[in-house]
Amino acid sequence: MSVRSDLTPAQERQLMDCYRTLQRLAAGCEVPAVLAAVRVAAAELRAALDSQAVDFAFFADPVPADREQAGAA
Amino acid sequence: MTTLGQIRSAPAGYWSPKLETMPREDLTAWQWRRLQQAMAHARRNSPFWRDRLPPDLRSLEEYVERVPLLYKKDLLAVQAADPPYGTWPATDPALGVRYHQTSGTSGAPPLRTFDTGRDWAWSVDLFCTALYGMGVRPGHRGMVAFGYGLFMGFWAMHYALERMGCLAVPTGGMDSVTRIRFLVEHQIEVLGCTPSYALRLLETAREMGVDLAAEGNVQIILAGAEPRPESTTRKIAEGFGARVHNAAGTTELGAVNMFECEAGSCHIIERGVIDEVLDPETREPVGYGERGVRVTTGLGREGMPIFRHWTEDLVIRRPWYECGCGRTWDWYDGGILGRTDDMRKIRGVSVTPVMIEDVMRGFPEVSEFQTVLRTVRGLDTIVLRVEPLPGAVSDPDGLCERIAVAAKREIGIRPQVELAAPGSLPRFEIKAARFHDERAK
Repeated sequence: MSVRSDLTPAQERQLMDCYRTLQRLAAGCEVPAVLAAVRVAAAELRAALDSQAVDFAFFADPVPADREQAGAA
Repeated sequence: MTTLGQIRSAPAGYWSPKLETMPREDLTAWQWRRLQQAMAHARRNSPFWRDRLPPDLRSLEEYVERVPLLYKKDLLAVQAADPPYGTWPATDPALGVRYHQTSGTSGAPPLRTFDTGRDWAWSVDLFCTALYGMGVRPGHRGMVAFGYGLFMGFWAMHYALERMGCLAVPTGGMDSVTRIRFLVEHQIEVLGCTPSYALRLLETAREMGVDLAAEGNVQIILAGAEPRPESTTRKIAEGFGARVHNAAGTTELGAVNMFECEAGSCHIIERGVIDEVLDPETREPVGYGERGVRVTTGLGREGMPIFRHWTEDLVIRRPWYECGCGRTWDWYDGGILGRTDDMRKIRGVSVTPVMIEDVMRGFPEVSEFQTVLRTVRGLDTIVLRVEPLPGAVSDPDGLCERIAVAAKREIGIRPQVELAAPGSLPRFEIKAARFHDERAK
């Protein structure tokens, strides 16, 4: 690990792809355990993208709160 | 394969190199883009912010000209009108995964906040920025010594240690004796607590016959959440044999927003906030090197965003290039110097708790003290109640006289000094309350 290290463009693309995939999963997944894990993973990845100054829709609507309840029903 | 030893011996570095070393003009442009997103989100979802944020702001300059300052009383008022959160939230509170409230040491009702899961991830990442900048590395063993209650305090430090791959020891249920034993037995390397509580640990260790500098292994202390003089920092550093780093944040922001780097500068975490420094009276901006009040805008919290929050914290801002650590983030000389709401006029002299504490730290034979402002025969008077270490003072009257003379020299007012019995004055884990104004209003 060097003192000054940035993401490569390829790494940044991969991270954004992962984030979008997690967002799509969170929007469609009905399994409570998976939905919870996906939401946490998406939140963590969002923080990582933010920390690297990646321009993206940082405040895009999160998965609605009642998604978990719907998934559990 | 990278070994733990290699990671821990890595040179000082940055948690997020790109944003920490970004050219200043690029950083400002990035902040403006993020602020526009934050304002759009807040206007769209928060009735409170819809009324305060003009929709047509075109620059940071327009933002500071047209957006009103936010005072704590504004937030308390909307929460009182529609508890628990009022019209402040910009997301459904059902998305909240954490609840926190202010400590209430000022006597005001607590301000209530929640964090969404995304807010908390952001807040923890900001704390990682601080810890990494202090030299904390994966594999370190860290103890978080606070009550783990409703006050936000060091909660984010605990989670930041976990995220970084450190061992986080939650000591909320431990008393000071147990914490000392644990520090020594487990050779804890990183400690998080208030400056007041760090001194309390040193006092407890002394009573136990433990020399923490010799028997312990604490190397990095994050002593935050309270203004303190440099003399207090030195006392903690010498007692533990460790580097002491400053840090500060607010419940209103929901995150840490300042930390002291290894070069000793208290950097504003400008990837997460936009800070202004304003004159306490005129509310006009002050320049580098001038004392003013820190006004903070948050760039990452979706649930309860803040814009232009008047923190009451007194600071002196310095430009980034005066610190040699390589960050392009400005810094506060001496961290948080005090609070405007703690400042009192005594016979025409402005007195703050930090000024009194600085005098008292010059007397190592004093273990604790309290400051009381009283009206004595019509005259504003400072009464200092001091508690000496057991057996450390053979001439109590002489000690009182020396303290009075030192206070007169440093502050300009001669106090009345009274001795208190050993162990009789209160000790503090968070937000020390050593300053009481009992004068008739």
